[in-house]
Amino acid sequence: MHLRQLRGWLVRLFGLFYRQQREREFAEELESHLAFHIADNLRAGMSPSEARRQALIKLGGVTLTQERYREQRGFPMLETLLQDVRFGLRMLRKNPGFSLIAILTLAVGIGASNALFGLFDALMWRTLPVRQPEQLVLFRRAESSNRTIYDVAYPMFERLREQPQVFTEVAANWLIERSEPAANPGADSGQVRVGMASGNYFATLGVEAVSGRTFTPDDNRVPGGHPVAVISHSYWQRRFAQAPDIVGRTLTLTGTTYTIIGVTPRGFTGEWVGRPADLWIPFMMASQVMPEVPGGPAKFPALVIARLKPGVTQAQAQTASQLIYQQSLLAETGSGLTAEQRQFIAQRRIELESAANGYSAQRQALTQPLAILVGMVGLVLLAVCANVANLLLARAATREREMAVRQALGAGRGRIARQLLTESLLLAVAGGAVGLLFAVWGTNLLTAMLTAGPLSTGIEDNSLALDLRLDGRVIACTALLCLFTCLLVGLAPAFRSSQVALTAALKERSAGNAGRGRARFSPGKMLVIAQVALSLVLLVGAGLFVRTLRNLQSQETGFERNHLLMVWAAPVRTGRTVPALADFAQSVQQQLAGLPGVQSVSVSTGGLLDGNVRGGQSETLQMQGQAPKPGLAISSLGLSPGFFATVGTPLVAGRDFTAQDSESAPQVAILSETMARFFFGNENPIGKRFNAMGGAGFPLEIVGIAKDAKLGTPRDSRGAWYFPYRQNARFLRLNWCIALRTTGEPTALTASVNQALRELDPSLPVLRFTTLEEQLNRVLAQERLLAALAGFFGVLAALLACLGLYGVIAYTVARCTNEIGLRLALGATPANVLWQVLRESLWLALGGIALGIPAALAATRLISARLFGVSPTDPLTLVAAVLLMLAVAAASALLPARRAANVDPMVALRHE
Amino acid sequence: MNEKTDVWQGTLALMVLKTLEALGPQHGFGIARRIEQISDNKLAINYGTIYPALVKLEQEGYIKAEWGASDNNRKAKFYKLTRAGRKRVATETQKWETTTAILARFFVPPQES
Repeated sequence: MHLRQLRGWLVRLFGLFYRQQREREFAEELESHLAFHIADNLRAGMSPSEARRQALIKLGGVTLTQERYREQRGFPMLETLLQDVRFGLRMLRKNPGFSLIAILTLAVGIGASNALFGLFDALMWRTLPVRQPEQLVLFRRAESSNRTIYDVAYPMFERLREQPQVFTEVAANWLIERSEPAANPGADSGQVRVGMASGNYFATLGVEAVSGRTFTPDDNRVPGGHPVAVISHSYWQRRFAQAPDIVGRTLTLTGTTYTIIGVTPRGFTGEWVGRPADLWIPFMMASQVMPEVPGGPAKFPALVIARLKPGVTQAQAQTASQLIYQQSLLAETGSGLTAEQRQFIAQRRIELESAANGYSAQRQALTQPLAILVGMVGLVLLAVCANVANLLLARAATREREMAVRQALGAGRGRIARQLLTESLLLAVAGGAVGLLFAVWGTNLLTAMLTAGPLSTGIEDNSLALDLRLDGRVIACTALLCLFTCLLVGLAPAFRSSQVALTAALKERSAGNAGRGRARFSPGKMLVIAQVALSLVLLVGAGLFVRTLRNLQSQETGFERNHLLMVWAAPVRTGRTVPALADFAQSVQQQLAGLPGVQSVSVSTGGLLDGNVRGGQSETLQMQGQAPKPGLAISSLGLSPGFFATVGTPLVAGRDFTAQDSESAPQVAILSETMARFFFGNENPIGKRFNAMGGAGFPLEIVGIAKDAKLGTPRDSRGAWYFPYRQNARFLRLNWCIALRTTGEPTALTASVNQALRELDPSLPVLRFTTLEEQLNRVLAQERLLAALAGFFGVLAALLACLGLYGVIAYTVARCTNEIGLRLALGATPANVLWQVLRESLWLALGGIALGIPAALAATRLISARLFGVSPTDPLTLVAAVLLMLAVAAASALLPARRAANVDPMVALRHE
Repeated sequence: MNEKTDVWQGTLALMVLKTLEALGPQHGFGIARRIEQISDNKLAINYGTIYPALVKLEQEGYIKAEWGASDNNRKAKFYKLTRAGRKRVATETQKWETTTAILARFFVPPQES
């Protein structure tokens, strides 16, 4: 029976097509039916007219029969939906201006929300493309001072591995950046990200090779004895053009040749979100690939990732791991522990965290900027919806007659509401489609600007290589947003329109409705007030961000602004050991100093607005004759002699480093003003000694004081101490900043410097060339992004509020033409009328401002951490925003006010 | 309310099928007139209600429609049973007979012996 019913439904569905043909057929059938019946009646003796009448009565009404036939034939619900859609499209075409504005503004709102969703999805929510990601956990160390560190020493990993009761597998991985020899001389060297993995790494994650095989525990037994590699799919495409004979080919890293044994599936790039690995080698090859770190694989850190046994909870596994961790720590430190040491060890904990979404060091750092973005985009979406809802309401007012006619013809409230909701759904879908385009472009922009922020995450390279793709989730998000905006936007007009009082609307007179236009709390006015409030909040935020940016940009950096060229390089990736690095630094300096246009060259281990805000605390420095003194964040920098002269930071006391301050000479240091003042007050610190590495004695002698300079970001207020890099050369493993003082334009020398470096070492990874201005912009990228977006959204919201106000005021004026004519006839001047209209607009704006100020104050408190040099309740910004909104209100009322003032009283009074 | 119309539509459909079984291919007017006749004019239906029922039966595949000519050479759309329709009639007839047989026992005075 059910199969037959299904057949029936399917036929009905197809009955939507060929409607006209079937209607014609049925009309014919009815005709023939009537003909038969009339013939019968005639035979029974009725007159022709009587026969016809009786036949029609017996039929039960032609129209009714046709309607019932139609209902059974097709799909009434679907048909009315199609009807509504067709009508809606026609309405949109008839009002191109309205449609364009509505669709574009919706597109901005939906697009922005979508872009943000895409970013969140790629960074935070997407699960790893591995087997059963919910079973994976990461290990992290909780140190006593509120810090969590995500790596453990490799020997500790080997001990943590012995837990068959709670884990099926425990693996380790560590990502490093290396430089690959250039394919051809003269080309740029290739950068690769290498994962050093334990033998069971791929087995733990559950990743199978698409070609060849992945590692087994046998590939990770002997230090230096396994020159094999597993490459990622994208690396296979990029470097080997997806060659089919990939298994067995070789690649070279830091002098060792590795045989490729397999390729991972497309889309798998390791567990680190935003830092995709290009290839993996066994952990035991650590010393081969990173020769600058002495001591073998046991000296390397590793990220530990494990798979829980089914049925074991994370808490159970954590307890078990904690036990082993504590035991290992006790075993490491040997016998004879003091109570203090025991307590110190007891405080160190190991914790587990879910690794289903992978690991990202940047998530923590980006939480606040992303939260601010979410707030902004949410406000914009609301403002956009309020605007379109207002437009729809205004239009609904002009369609009152149409609605009345529909109701008179038999449409119920539900039917009318359904039609209007369909129209707003069309708008929302159109807006969503355009918004999708915005979103794709917007997500890339957001990611690019968001990631070039300050480096506080412990890795040298802060770029986020997110896998942003337009997949089902993004489209589903768009669909949901469309639905949400449709409801938000369409409910009020739909509700309003279906309430139309029939008789009043059908009559020609508009005077009967004059009273409605003046309703104090009409939904249109409420919406406009809300829009003004939202705009105010966004504008205040924008103002604060812009001022913060200005303040930061005008900060005294402490460096030469105009004649400085900086080359950022990462020579450590070529695998040089520390002595080789020191020699290389020397050669670089000598070579570049000889170039025309170069006054002097210096090499430092970072340090000129490099965005690095890592560093210790002042209590780690032991000043001779003083107790450890907490309270100042510090940073340190390794320099070449002549650094201060090159970069333009004056020395206020003492001397600069010279070539005499070599490895064998007594250790020397230069303090920044802030640090000198912190430790020594007004005393002269020159000649005093301190200790920075712990242990006994005070080997460092202070030989100079330098003016404060912004080593990290313009917000930097840390104390700094400088040392000659030769005396602590292992710091050369950090990225370098090669600073050149030029006689002319810095950028003119880029090509020649690049050439010289290439000649010196073609495999040297040169990250970028910047002037000080460019570096400042780089390091302020997040602030620039927030200021730009807030400004853009603020202006957009203000424009929308202006449009909304215009709509409401224009409508009021149109409705009150009679009243205005009356006033003019009774002696009011056009100026009075003008002022009356303007006042109306200003009142609405004031309502919005009254709502907006407390909202803005509440909102700005949330962003106070990101502000600089301006308080969240800054009165100047508030006043400016309020004045702007008042100006917007005045501007929006201008046109309607002029129209009102030009009303001819005679015409108005006559036009009943 | 819905239940009544469903039951009514179901009954009407059965009457149409039975009529077609008895009369052979017939047009809409003929079926309606015949149903009224059989019910001895006690069933005063609007002839128009036949057509939605005919459409439904056609959609479900129990009857098939064809344009043809009546005895008076008048053009009309004729409906006839399909094989599925014939099966349906047989099943429904059997069900009806079983139902009436069971019910009949309730209305027979109890045979006490």
